[in-house]
Amino acid sequence: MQIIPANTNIPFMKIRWFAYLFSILMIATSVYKWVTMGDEKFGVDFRGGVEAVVSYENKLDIAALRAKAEEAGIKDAIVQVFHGVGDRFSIRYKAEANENAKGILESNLSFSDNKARVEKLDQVGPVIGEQIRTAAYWAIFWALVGIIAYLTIRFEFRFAIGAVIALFHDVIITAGACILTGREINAGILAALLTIVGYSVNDTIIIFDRIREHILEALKKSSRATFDLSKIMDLSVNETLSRTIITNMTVMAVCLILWRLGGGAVEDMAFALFVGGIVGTYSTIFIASPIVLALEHFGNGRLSRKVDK
Amino acid sequence: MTVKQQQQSFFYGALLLISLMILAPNFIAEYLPTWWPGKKINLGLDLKGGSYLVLSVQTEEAVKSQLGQIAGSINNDLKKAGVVRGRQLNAREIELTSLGDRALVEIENLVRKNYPELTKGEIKNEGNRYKVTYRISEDKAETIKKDSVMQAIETVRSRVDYYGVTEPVIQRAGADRIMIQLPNVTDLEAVKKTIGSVAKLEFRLVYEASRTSPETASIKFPQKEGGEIALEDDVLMTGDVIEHAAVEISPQNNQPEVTLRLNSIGKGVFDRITGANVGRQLAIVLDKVVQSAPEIKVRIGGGSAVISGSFTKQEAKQLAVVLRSGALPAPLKHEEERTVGAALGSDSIKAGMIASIVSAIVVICFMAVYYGRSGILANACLILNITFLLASLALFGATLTLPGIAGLALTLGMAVDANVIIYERIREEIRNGASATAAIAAGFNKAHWTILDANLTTLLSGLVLFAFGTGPIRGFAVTLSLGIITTLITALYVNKFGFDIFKLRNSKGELSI
Repeated sequence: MQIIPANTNIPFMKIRWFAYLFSILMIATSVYKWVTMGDEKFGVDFRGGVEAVVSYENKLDIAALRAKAEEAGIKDAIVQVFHGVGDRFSIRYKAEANENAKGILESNLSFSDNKARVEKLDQVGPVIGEQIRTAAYWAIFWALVGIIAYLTIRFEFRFAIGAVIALFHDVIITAGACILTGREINAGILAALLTIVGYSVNDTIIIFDRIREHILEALKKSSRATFDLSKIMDLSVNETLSRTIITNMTVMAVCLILWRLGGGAVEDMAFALFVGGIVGTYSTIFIASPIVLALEHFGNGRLSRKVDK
Repeated sequence: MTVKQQQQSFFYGALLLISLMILAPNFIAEYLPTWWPGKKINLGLDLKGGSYLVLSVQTEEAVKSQLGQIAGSINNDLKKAGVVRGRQLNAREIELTSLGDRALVEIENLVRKNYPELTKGEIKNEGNRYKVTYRISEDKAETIKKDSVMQAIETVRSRVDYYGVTEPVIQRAGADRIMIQLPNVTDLEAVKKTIGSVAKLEFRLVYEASRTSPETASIKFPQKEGGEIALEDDVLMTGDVIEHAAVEISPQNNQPEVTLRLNSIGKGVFDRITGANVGRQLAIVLDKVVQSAPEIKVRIGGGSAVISGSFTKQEAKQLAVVLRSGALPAPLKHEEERTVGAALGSDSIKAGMIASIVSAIVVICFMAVYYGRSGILANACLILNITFLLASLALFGATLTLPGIAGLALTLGMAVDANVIIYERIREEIRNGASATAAIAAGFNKAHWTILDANLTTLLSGLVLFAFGTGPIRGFAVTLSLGIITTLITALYVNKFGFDIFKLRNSKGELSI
């Protein structure tokens, strides 16, 4: 059985300008939203505050809960439905870490005929929130450094840069998708972003591997051969298309199932992985190789002379 | 089968059996004898329920309080010499006042001999009084800070012990933080309150203008039952001489009270205090709040004292626990707390398991349909993969968290990736005319480095996540990283082995892939 026909010949390189445009739009939207949202976009992990998952004995309307929160004096509370079994809600607000938040919340949010029970409580003081945020930025930084180093050793620096630009692209757009859908950036989403950094580069490696194979073939025929890098890239992407689409499809299917069925606690993370997978596939096909091509043009074809594996 | 193949089948078979053996206690613990070499997988707090607390030790306070104790101790020494008082200026300096030159020399000698950690500062002259400022060095302050963190951890540990919490984890986290994990506790609020209570116990005389010495100032303290009371600015005894504290019901009024038994030093001090102050009120102050101030009726040489007041049984028990474990060297500040109830925990496990199983089914069906018999071989490798992964988690005592379950599912997806790379390559080789055997060999060969590259970069992410993450995220990093290793083993080696020994031909005699 074959989903993608064996000998496709889609002119990916030609399409790249449309891809650039589309990507720039998505990146711009994401960056804009990121910058204008300020601290709101961060979950309690990164900015401190309280997040609780509350369940009730009987069914409760979310509007009634919101009203009750206001009445109890909880300022700027964000109340959402918490997916999973049963009637659960999540409520987030800013407060100092308090010794008895659970008791206070349960008494403040209970109705006379419908008692509240706090099932999950996260309280993060602002100092720790700040530290977790710094650690997160460093984590992303080191992951990218590691990838650049590894790719430079296995391939060559220009490839590494092309791959990492595609990674930046993926992370920015995925993070943008999360905040645009009203999610807050918390530890789970960060974990998803880092996983995407490590995983999305896989596809890029597959294609680069193929490109290198073709370059070596061309060089074998005549050591001073000139080759059309653009054509080789197109060929490589087309050859590996079947594999790229299928594996990304399976990973995305898994993430989709996790997102819809995994319960509220992994929902954010699975969503980010799902979107990241889609964006990663797109960037592998349309962004990574073209960037290398562009760098090659600026660098005056040094690639042809440097490849010697 | 060749000899090599026999060896390989023995090896992989053994791995499988060992893995199943390790995992058995997770499913059929009731039927296994106690000597069974297997382990249950550790569940994270987000799956089994419990609390995770991070408290920071206010080390500056520790230095301040330690210096205060030094000042008090100097005071006692100087009083014997009939020389005047010392007082604490701030967290680093104390000021000693002397009456006359000879007293000044005595002070300087005393301090130099007994308190080498203090360095002399400026000397002010006011009439016939000299005020000498002594400073504690930053080095010594740092040592006090470090020690206070260690001591705080030990105090917290003994307090948690007294509550009989099962499998608590109490660790240092960073320079001045303590991380505490408490699996589901029935009375969490009480435990938290007990952990955080500084429990500094002081015994001071109540200020009486006629009987208090003129040099001693009076300070107002709040009382437990409300209002204020004036006490002498002089600590006669502190809680560190307490050997044991217990809750008892007073025979007089049936109320709970805390009885103290003092150690040998305490016995002597208490004997002296009570002997010298019969008829006066001795206030018992806990964390700057007066609990009670009973009148000293008679000299007490037996070293036992009672703290009574309007306690509930709960409060009395908490007080006894903190007094037994000793005071905290400094207050603890709540930095982070995460609690998951057991109900949500088990729901999360259910949801995670369902998602993983559905993912597995989808992937398995797809592989069988898309790649025929080779797909079924790949599925067998997948099952081995997950088995090895779970066994490693159990073996290393790694903690499985909810994101960790997500990591399991993700490993499934990435294992398929490796198979697809190889199989697509094999298909391509066959399309280009290679024989089945040659195509299989070429497929594995050419895909080898590609698969390694791809998985090593994901492993890199996993390690970064492990280094920078905490709690549930770490669980994800562990599952992901271990999953990559098991994927490499199963997708490269076990898979190839499978092709070697199984024919996998379809009805036409071609390779079913």
